[in-house]
Amino acid sequence: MSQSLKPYLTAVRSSLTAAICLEDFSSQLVERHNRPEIEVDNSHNPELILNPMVIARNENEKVLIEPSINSVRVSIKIKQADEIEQILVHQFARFLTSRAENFFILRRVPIKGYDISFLVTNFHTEQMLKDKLVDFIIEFMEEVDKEISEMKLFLNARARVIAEAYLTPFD
Amino acid sequence: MEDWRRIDIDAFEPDKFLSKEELVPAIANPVDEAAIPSIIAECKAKLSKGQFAEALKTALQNPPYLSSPAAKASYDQLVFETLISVKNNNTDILPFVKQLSSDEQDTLVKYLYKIMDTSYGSKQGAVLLAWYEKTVEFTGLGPVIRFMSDRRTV
Repeated sequence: MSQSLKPYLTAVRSSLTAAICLEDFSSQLVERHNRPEIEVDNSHNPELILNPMVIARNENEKVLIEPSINSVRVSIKIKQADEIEQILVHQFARFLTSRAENFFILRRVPIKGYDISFLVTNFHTEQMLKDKLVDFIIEFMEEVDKEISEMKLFLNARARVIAEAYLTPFD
Repeated sequence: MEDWRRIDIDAFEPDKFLSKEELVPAIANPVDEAAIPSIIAECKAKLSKGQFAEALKTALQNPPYLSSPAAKASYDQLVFETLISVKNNNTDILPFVKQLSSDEQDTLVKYLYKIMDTSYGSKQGAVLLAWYEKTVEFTGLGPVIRFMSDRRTV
């Protein structure tokens, strides 16, 4: 693990551990509704929303954690150094979000300015262990960088082979 | 009256909802907006003299909770410069964290989160994350939770 990745992940880990502290909370506006308060327009009851946290490693890599009484929204901006990585990250995020129901906490649409978002509600913390949820998000952040750079290498290698194959007749 | 079904009657109930401003608790002795430049000057003087611990304490002692966004931004810049220069001139920052009072540690964490959100702060992510790591290592999760729930934002 590189030198600056470790403090970044520990910061995300401690912020997440602090933020995922949720309880069941029914809507104060609509009778018999129970919504993740972070997703609802909360101009009426701002006391349910806590201060959002931003953890930045550099301009291209940051995490936004928005806690509320019964839900936490975690948005991740994945490192994108050039256009190829932008395409790869976009496709990768699309692949995951189109299968969002299998991931339980994945949000279908990422928050503006970020690549992928998770929404953890009190129902998730009731069914799953909080530490494991935090571990999952941290592991995702570790893996996704590796995955993207690996895909980029494969892509370049493949492009080279194809170019060679095309150009052999003119050799 | 047009479309009276859509009138938000709850908004007229005075007891029921709190506004964002009402959530902020009373602050005992708020910093005078006019005093901010002098605090900044004092802190910078201490930094240039090499009194890093004192400079850090000065910067974190009395944060401007109630000032205008512009004044807060200039104060953020001061805290940022202080953190950078303490880190650049000292190999170990843990003693600096240890000598702060617990209120000052809370304020430090508040500023770390705030500065990481700015454009100049995210460029120096490594330094800020080092500060954050050392602080949380020493204090535990308390300041993080207090950052989330404290309505007195820096």
